[in-house]
Amino acid sequence: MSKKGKMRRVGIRIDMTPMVDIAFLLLIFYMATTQFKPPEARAVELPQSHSQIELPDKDIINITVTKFDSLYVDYLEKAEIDIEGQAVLTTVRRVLTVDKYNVAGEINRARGKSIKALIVIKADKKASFGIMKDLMDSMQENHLERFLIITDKEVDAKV
Amino acid sequence: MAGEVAERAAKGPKKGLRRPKRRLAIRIDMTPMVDIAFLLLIFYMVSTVFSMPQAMEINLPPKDQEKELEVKESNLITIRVDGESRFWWNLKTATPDNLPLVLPSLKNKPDSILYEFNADTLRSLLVSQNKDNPKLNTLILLNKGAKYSDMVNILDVIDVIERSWNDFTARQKGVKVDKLSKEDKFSYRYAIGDWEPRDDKIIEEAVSQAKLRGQL
Repeated sequence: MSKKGKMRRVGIRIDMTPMVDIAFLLLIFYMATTQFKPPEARAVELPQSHSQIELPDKDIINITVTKFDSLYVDYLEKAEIDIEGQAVLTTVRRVLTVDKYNVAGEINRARGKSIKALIVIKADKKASFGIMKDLMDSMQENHLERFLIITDKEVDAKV
Repeated sequence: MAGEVAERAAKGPKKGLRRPKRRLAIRIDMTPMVDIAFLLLIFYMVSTVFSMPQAMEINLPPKDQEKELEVKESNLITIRVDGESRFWWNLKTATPDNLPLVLPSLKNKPDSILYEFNADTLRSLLVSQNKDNPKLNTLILLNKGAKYSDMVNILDVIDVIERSWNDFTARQKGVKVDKLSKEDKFSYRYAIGDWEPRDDKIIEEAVSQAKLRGQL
């Protein structure tokens, strides 16, 4: 603490270049990989599973089941919209509120536009089995036997 | 823009800068830029979601081809999930003498009235029963009041059993999993049935029995 000799205060200069390099590298990595989720009005807490099937990200028909057992169908659709008197062809997301009686009809209508579309059910883990049963029964009656259900990856605590 | 011009290897007071026509090194203060860079970096790190959701494939039997499948009673195990998400199991058909037994669940959290699913007990039950009887058929009955996650959990347990069973046989035979012959390949036989009013009665009796035994 005591000032002995004539210690001059030395200005320390750290070369920050490598650190900045790494910082930018990470920054670019995160910027490139980030996919922003569109804000969802219908928040769904997914159940967990050990399944290893990757979810396809295009040409899908989404069925959402919220924890209050309400059903929605949404899908992307090519549509002509009118911009300043000109018809412009774009893709729009169509979101439909459905119930257990017309859900299969709406799915079939969506599949009429793109026959290869996969049906993906995204249901909240607190949704009741009753609504799933109704949904599956009505899909079965309409020959929609194959579908995917979305789950979160379950990580076991122990090996 | 803090572009500070400093004399290379300048020592001494800043006055020296005024001296004309010396070779000058440009030193740009990078601090604000780095600040912004880190700010963005932290923002992207926090907002990135790495866990991509997985999918489970489900194939329902076609309605018009669905036939009543005759299963020998001795080859049947029934898993019932009641409206409170309790798991019950019994071999053969449930009768007053053969009531379903409750599957031990995890201890309830104090703030929940629901029973927590215990994958380990269900898995070990199904594995041991399948080992005892290779022709076992599993019938899954879920009450309408059960949770969707109960269904996913059961299907997941079955999926895990099937995969690890095949992995095991493949390792013993020294072949790859996808090269297993049809006879060696284990595919779990299960069906999701309809919950009928009589199942409510069975569970009602099973609950009172389990209460007598102190299991509930």
